[in-house]
Amino acid sequence: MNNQDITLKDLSEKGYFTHQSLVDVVNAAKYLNKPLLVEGPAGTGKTFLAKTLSDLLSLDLIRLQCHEGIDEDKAVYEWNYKKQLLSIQDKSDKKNLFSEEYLIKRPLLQALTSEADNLLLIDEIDRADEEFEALLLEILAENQITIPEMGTIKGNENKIIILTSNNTRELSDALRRRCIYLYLDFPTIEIEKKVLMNSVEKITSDEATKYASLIAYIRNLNLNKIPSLIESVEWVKYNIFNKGNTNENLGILLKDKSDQKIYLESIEKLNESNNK
Amino acid sequence: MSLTTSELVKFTDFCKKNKFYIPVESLETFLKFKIQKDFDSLQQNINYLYYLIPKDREDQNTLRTLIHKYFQIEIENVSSSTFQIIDEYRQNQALLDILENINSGGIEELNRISIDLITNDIDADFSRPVSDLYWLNQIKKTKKYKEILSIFDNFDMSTFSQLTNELNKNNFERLLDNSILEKIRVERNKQKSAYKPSELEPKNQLNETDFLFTNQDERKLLLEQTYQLGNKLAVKYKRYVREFSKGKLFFRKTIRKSLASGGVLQNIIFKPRIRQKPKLTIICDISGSMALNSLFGVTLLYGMVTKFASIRAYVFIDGITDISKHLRHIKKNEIETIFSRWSEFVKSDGHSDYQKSFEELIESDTSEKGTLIVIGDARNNYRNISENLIINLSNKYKKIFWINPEQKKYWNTGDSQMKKFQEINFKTSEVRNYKQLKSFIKELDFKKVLTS
Repeated sequence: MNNQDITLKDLSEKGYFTHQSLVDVVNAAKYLNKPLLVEGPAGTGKTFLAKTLSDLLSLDLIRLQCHEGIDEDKAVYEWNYKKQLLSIQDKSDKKNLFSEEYLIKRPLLQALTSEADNLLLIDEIDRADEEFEALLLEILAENQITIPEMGTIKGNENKIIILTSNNTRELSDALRRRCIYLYLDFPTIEIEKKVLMNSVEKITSDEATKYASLIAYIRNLNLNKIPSLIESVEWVKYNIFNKGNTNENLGILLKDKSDQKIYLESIEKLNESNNK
Repeated sequence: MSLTTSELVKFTDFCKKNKFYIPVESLETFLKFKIQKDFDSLQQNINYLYYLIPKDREDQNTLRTLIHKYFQIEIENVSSSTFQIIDEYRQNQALLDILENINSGGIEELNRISIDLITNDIDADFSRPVSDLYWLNQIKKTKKYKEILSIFDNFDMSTFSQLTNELNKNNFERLLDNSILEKIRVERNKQKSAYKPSELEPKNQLNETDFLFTNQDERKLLLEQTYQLGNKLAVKYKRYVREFSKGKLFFRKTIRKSLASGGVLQNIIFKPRIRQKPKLTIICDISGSMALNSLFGVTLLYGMVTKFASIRAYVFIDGITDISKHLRHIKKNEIETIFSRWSEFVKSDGHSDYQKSFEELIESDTSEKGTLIVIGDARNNYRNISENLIINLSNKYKKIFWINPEQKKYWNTGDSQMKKFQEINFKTSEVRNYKQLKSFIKELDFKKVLTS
C-alpha cells in the first residue's frame, strides 16, 4: 500500500466529490493505521466512499454486511464440522482436526490473514447486536483474532478498516474509542452540483444549481424517507432527458405517497407566496 | 505559529471547565500525529485536533464551539444543515454576519437574539406552572419574533435562490427556537419559586434526560431510537420463540438422513414442539398522567408491531383498544396522530382504570401462558384493584414485565397501586429516559421466561 496522501483531486477523478476535511480525516486514519468509523444518514455515500478508496488505492474490498443476529460463525470463522466428522471416520491418518484445513474463513478472518492489501468494510454496524461490537474490538485495536483451538492469529498491517453506521442506535464507547470518527452528512448544494455535473449528461451549470438547491430544499422537508444521493441523481438524469416538469416522475425521488404530497403542497405554497 | 504543548494543556483545561472532557487516549493520538506530520500553521493543527478527538456528532459540535471561543479559529463546517450563503445576502450585512457567525460555530449572535426576545416580553411570568414549550409558543407569537424571521423575506431573488433562502429560514428558525428554549430554562431555574418538576436540571447526556424534558429535536431523535428498540425487542422475542419451538431430537429421521453420508450425523433433525407458541402482548397506558411518556410507549409498540404480525399491542385508559392493526397502517411520523384521536379510546370517564382494563384484557386475549409487557404508572385514580384480578393475571401470563415512567420513590404514593402488582411475579422497572429503556430491553431475558 502506498503511503502517499490522498488528495481531493484523486477522489473526484474517481467520481467521488467531497470536501477537504473528509480527505484530511481519511489521510489521518490511513497514516495512524486506525479504523475509520463513518456515521451519517442513509444514502450519503458511506459505502461508496469505501468502494472508491479500494479502487483508488487498488486494494481488495472485503465486505461484511451486518444484520440483526450476526455472530462469530458468520463474521469471523466457523469449523467445518461435516468435514471433521468425515475425517474421524477415516481412521488411517491421524490429522489435527483443528487445523486450518477445517477452518471456514469468514470476512473478518479473511481480511486479517489475506496476503494482498485489502480494505475491510464493516457495513451498517448499527444493525448488529451490541454483543457483536465486543467481538470486533480485538481486531480493531490489536489487529488480531483469537481462536481458542488454534491460538492467536496476528494480522498483516496492510489494510484499511472502514465501519459504517446509519446511527439508528448508539454505538458503544469502547468501539468509538478505537476508531477515528467521521460524520458524513448529505452533500451541500455546491457538492451536489458537482456530482450532478459529473454524472448527468448535457446538464448546464444553471440547471445543476437549480436542481441542487431544489433537492436540498426537499431534504429539509419533514419526510418519511429522505431521498438519497443516488435517487436524486437518477431523478435529475431523467428530468434532463425528458425535459419534463419537475413535479412529474416524482416516483424516482420520493418513494412514499405521503412524502410526495408533502412536497407538492410545499411547492404550491412557495409559488403562492411568490405571486403575491 | 505552531500549537505548543502548554497551549494544548491550557485548552484541555478550558474544555474541562466547559464540561467537555478530552480523553487522554485521543490526545495521545493527536500528539503522535502532530509530531510525525510536523504542521507549520496553527489552523492545520487545530483542524486535526477537531478531526481526531470527537467520537460522535455531539462532541463535534461542542468542540467546534469551544475552539471558536478559545482560539478564535473557524473550523470549516460542511454539514448540509449549515447556511448556504447566496449572493443576494450581500445587500444585508447584518444577516450575513449572523449566518456566518453561526456557520463557524459561534453562538453569540443566537444568544443575543434570543435573550433580546425573552426580555422583550417583560410581562412573562416564568413561575407559572406550564411547560417550557408554552413560553416558546408565546414568544413565537410576538411581533418581534416575526420581525426577526422576516429578514429573510426582503430579498428580490431568482427561483432557485428562493429555495435556498427558504431552507436557510427553516434552519434558522429551528436553531433560534432551541436557543430560546435553553434561555427559558435558565431563566426559570433562576426563579426559586418557579414551577420545577423534580430534577428539571437538564443532564449532559441526552439519553439520561427524562423523556418529559426533551425539546422537539431531541425528541425526534429519541423517538427514532425508541422505534429501533421496539424492533429489536420484537426480534429478540422471535429468536427465542424459534429456539423454544425446537423440540427433542428426531432420532429416526436423523439416522435415516445420515445414511447418505455413510453413517455420519451431518444433519441433525429435531421434532417440532406441538405445544402452543408463547404469545407476546404489550399494553400501554395513554391516560393524562402518563403525559409524553405514552408517546414513547406507543412508539415502542409501533416498532414491535410493524416487525412481526403475531405481536399484539393494546392501549388503554379505562378500557383497552387493540391498536396493532391501526399501527401497522400508519407511518412513523404519524404516530402522534393517535393522540389526537384520544377520545376514541375513552370507554367511560377518561381516567385510567387498571382494574377494568386488565379485566378486558384477560377476556379478549385468547393466548395462554404468554408474556405481558405493561407500560403504565399504576395510578388508578383511587379506584380499587381486587385480589382476584391479580390472581387472574398471574394465572393468565407466565411472566409480566412492568415499565413505570415514574421515579421509584413516588411509587405507592397517592393513588399509585404499584405495590399490589409488585406482590406477584412481576418484574418492575423504572423507565424515564432512553438509557433506562435500553437497559430494560437488554436485561429482558425471554429465554429464562419461556423455558422455566
